[in-house]
Amino acid sequence: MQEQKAILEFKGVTVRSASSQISGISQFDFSLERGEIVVVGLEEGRERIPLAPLAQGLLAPDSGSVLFQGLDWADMKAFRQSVERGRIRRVYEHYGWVTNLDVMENLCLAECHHTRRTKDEVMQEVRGLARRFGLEDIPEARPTRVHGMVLRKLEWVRALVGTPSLIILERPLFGAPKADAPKLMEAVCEASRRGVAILWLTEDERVMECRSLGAVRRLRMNGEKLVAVSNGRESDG
Amino acid sequence: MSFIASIGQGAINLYHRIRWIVSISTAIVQLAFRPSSWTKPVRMVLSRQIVFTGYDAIGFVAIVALLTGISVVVQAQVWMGRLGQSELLGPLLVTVIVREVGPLLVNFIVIGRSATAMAAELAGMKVRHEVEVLDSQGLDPLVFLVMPRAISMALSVFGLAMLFVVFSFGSGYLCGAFLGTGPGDPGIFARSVVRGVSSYDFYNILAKTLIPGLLTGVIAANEGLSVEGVATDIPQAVTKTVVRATLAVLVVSVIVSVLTYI
Repeated sequence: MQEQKAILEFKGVTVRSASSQISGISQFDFSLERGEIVVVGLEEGRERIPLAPLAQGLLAPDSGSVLFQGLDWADMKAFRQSVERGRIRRVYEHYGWVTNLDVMENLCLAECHHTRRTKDEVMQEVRGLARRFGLEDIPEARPTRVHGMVLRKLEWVRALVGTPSLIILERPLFGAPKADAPKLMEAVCEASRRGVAILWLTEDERVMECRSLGAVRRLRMNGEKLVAVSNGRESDG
Repeated sequence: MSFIASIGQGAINLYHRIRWIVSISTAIVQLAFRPSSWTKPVRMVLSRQIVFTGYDAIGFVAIVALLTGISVVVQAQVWMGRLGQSELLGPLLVTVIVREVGPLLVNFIVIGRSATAMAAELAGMKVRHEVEVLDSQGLDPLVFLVMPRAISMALSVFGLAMLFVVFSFGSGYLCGAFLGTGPGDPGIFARSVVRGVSSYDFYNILAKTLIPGLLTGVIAANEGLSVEGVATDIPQAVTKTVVRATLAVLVVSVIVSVLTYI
């Protein structure tokens, strides 16, 4: 079977403002291929856009379509949607933890649910990734008892566990120590070399301009439109 | 809207609500028979819910059963003895405790103790966007949140009802023996009870525990997950759970009794 090259495709996607906090988007057209990193620069005051929920099929666009690995979310049944979402990892804009599970259970949840890997095996990978970000131990507590900065780095760990097809990073450096940003970028680059597609949403100009990230494409929000950025200049996306 | 129209609208709303609950319950039973639904995390949720709804409730159910046994069984012994109908003691106790009081009381205990907590927990998760977090990781809320909770509630109600019957008969017999109102010989008491049990009673207690337990779980989950992002709606979800689950238990109990014995 031929491997699907485009992991994520937005075709003429428009969403009117979903709430007072989430901005709308208009006529989004872009695709993200295997191993590609796309950085989307967010405008000040309009940092929250519904790109991740659209990419995961959690939000239906008012017009246009969103395809994941060649399949339109709108055409998939609920069971298939859950299976496909299992191939996506995400660092959340909002609080991204289940409070009635402890931190380790949260970190292993998706991998244990969607794969046949043992919990011990997943925990071992989680601990290895955590050490990479300077966390020697995983807190044995529920997320509400853990410091926000630690939780943010653990979200990076969760996003990198296993072999996802797509990782969505919604402002992943927000609330994290600046010194750890290069570690995340390095880990993301490694994931992309393994074939994982990366969609990185940021309001941070340093991430937009960072050459070591190796982003193939940089896009920028301009009002409700998405425009491509090349050599510091913007052009229609 | 006229008075007649409002009654009609209320009836239509009730019909839609019942249809919704029945369709979710049916979907849950179908999912429960699909082995692929029972992944490691789902099994973990099921075991925790059985501990919370079933195991942790044993003490309280035992106390209620002991007190019920003392009041109901001893009274039955006294009155049947005075009427000279001691041989009817077993059938009477089976009718009262096994068929009606046991399943009903256990269902009410589970509604008050666990269904309310479940509705509040799920409503809190909805308000904190945790349901979206699960959904975005490919964990279908129906499979991960609702199914194990509803199944554990059904199994727990059944298990607790069996314990209730045993504890209430035991306490009733012991209290009767202590007061000198009972048959004295435990063998006579046991044979009298066993004689009163028919095969219908087995189906009856299954139907009056598994079905209302499942419905209670589904109603609690449905009310909890219907909350739309506002914490002040959580108490209302809990109240609706108590009212609707209590009604569901009573309606199922009446229907099962009518179908089984009349």
